[in-house]
Amino acid sequence: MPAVTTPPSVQGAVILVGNPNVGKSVVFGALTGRYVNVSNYPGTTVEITRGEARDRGTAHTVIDTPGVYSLLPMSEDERVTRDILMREPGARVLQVCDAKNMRRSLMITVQLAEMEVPLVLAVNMADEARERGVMPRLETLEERLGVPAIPTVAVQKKGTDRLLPLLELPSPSSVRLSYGLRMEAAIFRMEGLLPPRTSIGKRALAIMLLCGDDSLAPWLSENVSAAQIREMNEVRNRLAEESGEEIAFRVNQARLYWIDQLLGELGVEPAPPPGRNFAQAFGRYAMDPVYGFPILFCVLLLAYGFVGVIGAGYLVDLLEESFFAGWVVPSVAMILDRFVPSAFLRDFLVGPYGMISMALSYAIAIVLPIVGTFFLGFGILEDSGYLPRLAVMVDRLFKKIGCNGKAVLPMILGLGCDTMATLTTRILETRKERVIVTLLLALGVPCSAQLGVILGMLSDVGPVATIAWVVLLAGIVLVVGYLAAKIIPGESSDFILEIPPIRWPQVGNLAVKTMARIEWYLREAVPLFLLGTFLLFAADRLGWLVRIQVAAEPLIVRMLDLPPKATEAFLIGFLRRDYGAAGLFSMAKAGMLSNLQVVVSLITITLFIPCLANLLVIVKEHGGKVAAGMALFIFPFALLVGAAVNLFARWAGITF
Amino acid sequence: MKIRCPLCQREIDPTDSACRSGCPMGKGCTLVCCPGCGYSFPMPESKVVNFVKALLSKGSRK
Repeated sequence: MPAVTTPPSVQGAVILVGNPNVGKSVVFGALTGRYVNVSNYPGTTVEITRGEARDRGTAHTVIDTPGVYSLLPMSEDERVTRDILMREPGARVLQVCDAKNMRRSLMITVQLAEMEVPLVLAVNMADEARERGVMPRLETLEERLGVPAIPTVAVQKKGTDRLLPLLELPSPSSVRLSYGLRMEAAIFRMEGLLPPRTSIGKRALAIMLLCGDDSLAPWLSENVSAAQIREMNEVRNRLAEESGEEIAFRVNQARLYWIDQLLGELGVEPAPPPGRNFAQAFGRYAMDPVYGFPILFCVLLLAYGFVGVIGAGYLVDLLEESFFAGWVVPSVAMILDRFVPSAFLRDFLVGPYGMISMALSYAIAIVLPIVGTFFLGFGILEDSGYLPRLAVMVDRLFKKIGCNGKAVLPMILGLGCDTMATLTTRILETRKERVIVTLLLALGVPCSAQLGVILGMLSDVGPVATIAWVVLLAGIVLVVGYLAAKIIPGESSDFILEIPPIRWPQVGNLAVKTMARIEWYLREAVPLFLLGTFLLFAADRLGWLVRIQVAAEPLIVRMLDLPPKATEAFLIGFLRRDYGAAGLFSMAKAGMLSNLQVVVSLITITLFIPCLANLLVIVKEHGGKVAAGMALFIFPFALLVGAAVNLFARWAGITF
Repeated sequence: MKIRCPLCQREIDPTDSACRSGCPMGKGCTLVCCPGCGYSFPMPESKVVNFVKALLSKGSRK
């Protein structure tokens, strides 16, 4: 008897559908083995990605679609996703839901149910939902929807292995919402006007058409006669007249009502006892204005240790002493002596103010290892979810002392880039507000690069000096912020932050982020380092440098009690404060500064005139007079604070 | 491509980062400025990492 074989069933592709930022791309990667993007940044699937998944010898085509909020298209992304669902024959849908926000996810589920497409739900980020105590009971959800709902943690590949077997023979959801008698009658009439065979459920198409989905026009002209299209328009217009409100709005209201009732019935899984989960407790305390400070202190201590020991210690020694001073500079000097015996060129490249011996040495051997390690630490703070909590904690603290949100904003934004933060002061309402916030940024908020170099330099002095620097700067910023809040009238203008869960950063993301920041930094800083060194070189050759040092002696030597050579650091600090700090770092390494002098010089340069780019933006935004006024305030203020610290430390016998 | 602001978590389109054009250092700058909160951060894309990835993928194809 010949063997009877059943032909393989022709199955369509597996289409991944879901809201933006629910981990669709990660699920796609877990199913197909093809990495798309592990970060939870949404919208990275704007282009459609196809891959192949294998399960027990069977190959499945998987299509990743752009994130959508609705299948009634309002954007190009949504139209593309809806069109894929309509045009892929025999497709099975895997909807990736956000377990923390099932209300939003179920809006799509309802529409997929009306489309009558075979469906499986992956309820993703189940770990975070459980931590927050909002994980829905999936058994009840499965019963109500009539489709499987699998809890997944896609980034850890948990639960994703259960999806493909369920997608072998999925069925459409049994859910059918009722939109009221009038609307149902219109849906019924619309269904009658549609062609006998449609790729998705007629009910879904009828509702889309009643909601006025113009993007279906090409499909209609291909599949329906002109007379039927006219009749469809009549049905829709009549319904709109009868109901007296926008049909799409009414449909959405009915769906949300149904979803809210369903979620109420589902309930949630029992939450873990509060405080037992370390990450949750840490996240809560990190926002607290009281407990948040010790946490901030510990975070700073860790950053200080990491940047100080690895960046400013080990890596700077390796690059500066072994590589630049030990190899690059002598090699270039030797080549020049041998092939181009010009004293000027030698001086220009490897002299005391040489482009290689100073500019590149500072940029590559001193600043790069320090900011590199700092950027890595900063990336950890961003990706772990600590940074938004720091913003909330600072916001709460400022409110406690009577400040409003506008005074808080620059403290956090400046950690990115002061120049950009200055530009965003445009969002403030009055000119007075914009000027005060710009002043706060220019005065006391070091950008991430400057903060990195300063932390690295302080690490050589010791923790007491670091604490003194932090306390003094925080005090100045608080006082100036407080005064600013008194001057700026009006109510608090809070900025809205979504607080993500505390989580472990991913190594790949951190690497990309850190490299991106280093590339940005090098592109921006190195030209200015070269320019600053060239100016010093020219001033030295023309004999101006000594005159400037003599002229600055009353300020640098007498007021701040620093060596005359520190004038150079402050001069180049006009271009970038971190460049100035690097000059001081180099002096400290050479044993030219005592610990007290390091602290005094760093406090002065932190409060010093903003970098060239920031100054230019201040001129552009507020005019030359305001910029000059700010510079005239900041310059003596920075010197006076430095002098006061020096005098107080000497009086109190503090040497750090 | 849309990305997420590390501070306020808002989804943003980096091409809409209008403040970049107002900065004197704007040419070639890869910083993105969140229109929601104003926080600035580099585009999550690194030429060095892309280069290494391309090298590795070439190596694995061979």
